[in-house]
Amino acid sequence: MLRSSIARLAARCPAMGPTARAALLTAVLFFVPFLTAHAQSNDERPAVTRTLAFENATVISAPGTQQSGVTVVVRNGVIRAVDTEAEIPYDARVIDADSMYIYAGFIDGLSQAGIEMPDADDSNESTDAPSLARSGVQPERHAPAFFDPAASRVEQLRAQGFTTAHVVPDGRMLPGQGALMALHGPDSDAATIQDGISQFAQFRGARGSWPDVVAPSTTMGVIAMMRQVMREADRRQQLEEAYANNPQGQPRPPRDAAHTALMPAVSGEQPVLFAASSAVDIRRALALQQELDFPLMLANLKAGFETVEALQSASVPLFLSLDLPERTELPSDTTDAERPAPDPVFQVGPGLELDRERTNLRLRLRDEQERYIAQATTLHEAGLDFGLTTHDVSPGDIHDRLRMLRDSGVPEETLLAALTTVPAQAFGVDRRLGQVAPGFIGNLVVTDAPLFDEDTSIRHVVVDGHLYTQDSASEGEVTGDAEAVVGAWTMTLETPQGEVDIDVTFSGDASGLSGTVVGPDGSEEQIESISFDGETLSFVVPGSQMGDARVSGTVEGNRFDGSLSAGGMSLDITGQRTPPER
Amino acid sequence: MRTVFLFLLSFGLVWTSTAQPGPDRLRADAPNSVLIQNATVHTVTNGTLDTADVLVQDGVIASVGTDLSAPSGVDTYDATGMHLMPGIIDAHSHIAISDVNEATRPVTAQVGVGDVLDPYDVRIYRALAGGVTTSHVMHGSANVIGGRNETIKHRYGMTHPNALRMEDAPRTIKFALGENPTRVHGESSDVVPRTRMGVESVIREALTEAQRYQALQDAYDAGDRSAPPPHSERLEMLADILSGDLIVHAHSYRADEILMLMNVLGDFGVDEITFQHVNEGFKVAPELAEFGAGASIFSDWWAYKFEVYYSTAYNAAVLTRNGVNTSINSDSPDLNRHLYHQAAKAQRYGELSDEETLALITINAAEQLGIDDRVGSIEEGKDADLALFSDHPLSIYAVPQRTYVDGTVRFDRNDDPDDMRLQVDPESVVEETVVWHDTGTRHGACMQQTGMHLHANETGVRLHN
Repeated sequence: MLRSSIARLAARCPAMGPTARAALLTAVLFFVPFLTAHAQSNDERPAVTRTLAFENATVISAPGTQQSGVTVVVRNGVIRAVDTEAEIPYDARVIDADSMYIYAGFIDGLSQAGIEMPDADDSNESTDAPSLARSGVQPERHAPAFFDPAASRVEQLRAQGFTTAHVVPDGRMLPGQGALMALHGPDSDAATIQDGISQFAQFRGARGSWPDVVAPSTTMGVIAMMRQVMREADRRQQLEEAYANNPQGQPRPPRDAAHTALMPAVSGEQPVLFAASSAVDIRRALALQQELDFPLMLANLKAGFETVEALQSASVPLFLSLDLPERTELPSDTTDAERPAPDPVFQVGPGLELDRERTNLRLRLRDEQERYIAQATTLHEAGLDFGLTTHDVSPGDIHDRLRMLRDSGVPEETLLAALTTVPAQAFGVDRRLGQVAPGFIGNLVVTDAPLFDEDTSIRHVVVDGHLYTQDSASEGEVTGDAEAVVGAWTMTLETPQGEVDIDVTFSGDASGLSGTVVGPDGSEEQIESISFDGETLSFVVPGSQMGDARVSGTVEGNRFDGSLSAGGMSLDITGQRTPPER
Repeated sequence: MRTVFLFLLSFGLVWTSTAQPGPDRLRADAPNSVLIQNATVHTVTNGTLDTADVLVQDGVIASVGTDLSAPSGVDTYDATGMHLMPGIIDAHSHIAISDVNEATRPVTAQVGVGDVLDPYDVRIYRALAGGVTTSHVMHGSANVIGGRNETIKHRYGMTHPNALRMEDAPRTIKFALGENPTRVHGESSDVVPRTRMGVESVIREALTEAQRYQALQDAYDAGDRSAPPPHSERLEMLADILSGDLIVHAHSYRADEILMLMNVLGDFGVDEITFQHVNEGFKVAPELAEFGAGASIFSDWWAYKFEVYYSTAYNAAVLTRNGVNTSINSDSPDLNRHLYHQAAKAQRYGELSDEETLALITINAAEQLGIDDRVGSIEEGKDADLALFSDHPLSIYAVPQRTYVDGTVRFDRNDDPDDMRLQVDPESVVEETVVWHDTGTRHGACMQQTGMHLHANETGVRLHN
């Protein structure tokens, strides 16, 4: 009984970080004699309520639909009410949202967040007769087997408003099947919304370098191998059907996991999602689809503006990359008031014209960059729908990139659709994901201003009804008087099983604070991202595997009052300081 | 601050700039009809006409003669003093593709460079600047049996890879004999072939395997087997060689290996082949002629590895005089711009006639590629692939002026801008101009005291006073 309570407690704090979690466990064990009765009496009560009510918010339930004064209730991971008259359940944690905007959680069209692949061991394998796996053909693998919801990239994407991602395994030409994953959860199984969403493909030859490399080593090799395995999967599928109808006297058809895994794609039931950034790669993926006739999705597009007509006639789901080029600065002799177009007929004359030539080349480069930045605009104006992918993008840049797309001419409504309804539809989950509406999965993004405004901050992200609250202060910034913080603190964490004391020490000055935390077991850990604005103190206790524990609260005199959030849970934490002696 | 300023600035101005490369590069609206007047016309197949006209309509040569008149709406071009020849055909090239070698196995017939055409490759334009309108784009020579090749037209400006393909050109496949496959596979991976004997055995085994595969497939088609054989892209292609649907073009240098391959193909009933490089072709010219094999050679390039020492600049003449269909190729994105010079060298050393010499880079190459019904000479009804020179194309003073593909100007020395790239990597930086004169004697010694200096940038290197 006691052991199971402890295990449950630990499981409820999965994202707290091993040290914090270990500290917590140690503390609980230490205080067990005193806590047993308390713990038992609380056994039936949920540790943290999973009912949330955002009261009086401005809700954008779907792109282009905005209503104020709305209360959104999420219960048991599902949106129960989106209504001006919504009744707030008795057990709800109520969040005053009267200045906030609520959007559906974003869906990333192609991601490898949380994916960690095992090291491939081919030391004993001959390059003479390589296995399909060695060639990079591994369609039998599934993303959830390699997904860790506590990975830092998952947390980073979530902090930017992404609650769901189409996650694919890493590998070579056919790395495995993608799954729609919640960016939250105690483990991969719990985070899996739908497996087998796609068969992921890319123009990437087998690993290794000459001479320890096998076919396919080139893009043309990948294309040939696609033909080979798809056609052989087709043949085997026909043999299997014939055998199922009349097995007697027939040899059993040949069988292996890879070809079997390709059969749904061959028979049109599972899309092949090709990562294709460049114009030629887009053409090549489309040509393969024409030839082999599988359902196709295209993702990580960067130069789609070059292939508009082909994309129009293909009519396949598209996911555009948010990886946009940096704009080259204009030459110093160019007046910024009006960026001239490069001279399309420029020729170097008989004299030395280095400056003119350089200027013209820079203007051309800049023009080309604008074409990439305007990819989404170009496709939108051509009547094409698209989702987005954060592949290759630093999470911290995502909202800047979204604003770049908006500024290049994509309507905000279209951008929001690209983050929500369009991917939901492409992945066949548009009755569950992509809207703030009753019955939909409880995935929300709560901001303090309209989403695409310059200074908008994401205040809360809700995944499957789990609340993640962001610090309002920017991380690691000390703008207040550091003297008010430095010294030794005894902080008390209120767990469902009782109070746990943690020793926290801060040192430093206005140029930056550093700190350590010592758990009840005596283990010491460095604190990160300490920020203090004179009132709000926040810091992070890093966790290596399960995610970080974030602490945020207010300092008043020698008192601290705040909360610790980790893994979707929030616990109260208070502190008392002993200032350093002068 | 400056960044913010630029940022604000930029999106206010996106709309004022041209977001597309101009029509000068894509030539989207360029006409494909023209009357070229008063040129010296080297037809290659029907002699040379002085002060003649060529009328091109809808991409096809409509008539060749004198005093032709342009139908309404068709522009004329005064080529007085200029020489017009058929667009040059490079029978061995590796431009306009993303990959050259799938070097992983001695036999990789399953791959084809046609799958990875790159219409953005600026080397297509540079080839046009040398009058080249068609390239036989080949797989590399790392493997005994490499991948399929692709015959392309230099329709630079069209960005769909399929727009480069020469429709209905026969399919071809690359073989490679001698040192390349034995070094890449035998020496480096310790598999057959390590010797020329091994090369022969790899070919025989591969073609034998293809025969068996085809037999199984035929038995299934005839209802004698319940299941088709396990699908093999590689064997499908090899079977196409046996059926004559895929023509062999074999990288080769030595006389013994050339004879070997003719014997092997003969044993398998394959009677069509063109040898590439063929530096020792002059030794076996009668045998090549008897087999009906083509030879696509270099003018005077050799001694870059052991098997290429026994060579001669008379190779083209010896082969031609022995009745072998001979062409001169570049195998290079540099030499292809000077194929008319390469051909001229064959004339210098072998005293071939002008017509025989021009045939080396036009109609002969077209015959080897099976496209001589459409290109390779200036004849009515053929594709209007034409190269206009300032002087006789075999003169060292000749400078290409205009190159037409299907009647459309795709290179114009006077009017084209310097920057003809169709695509610019958005992450690239415009290279700082390098003035070699400024870098001191170490790099600029050859130009010291001349009062001249070179400067280089993205568009090339130029000499300035």
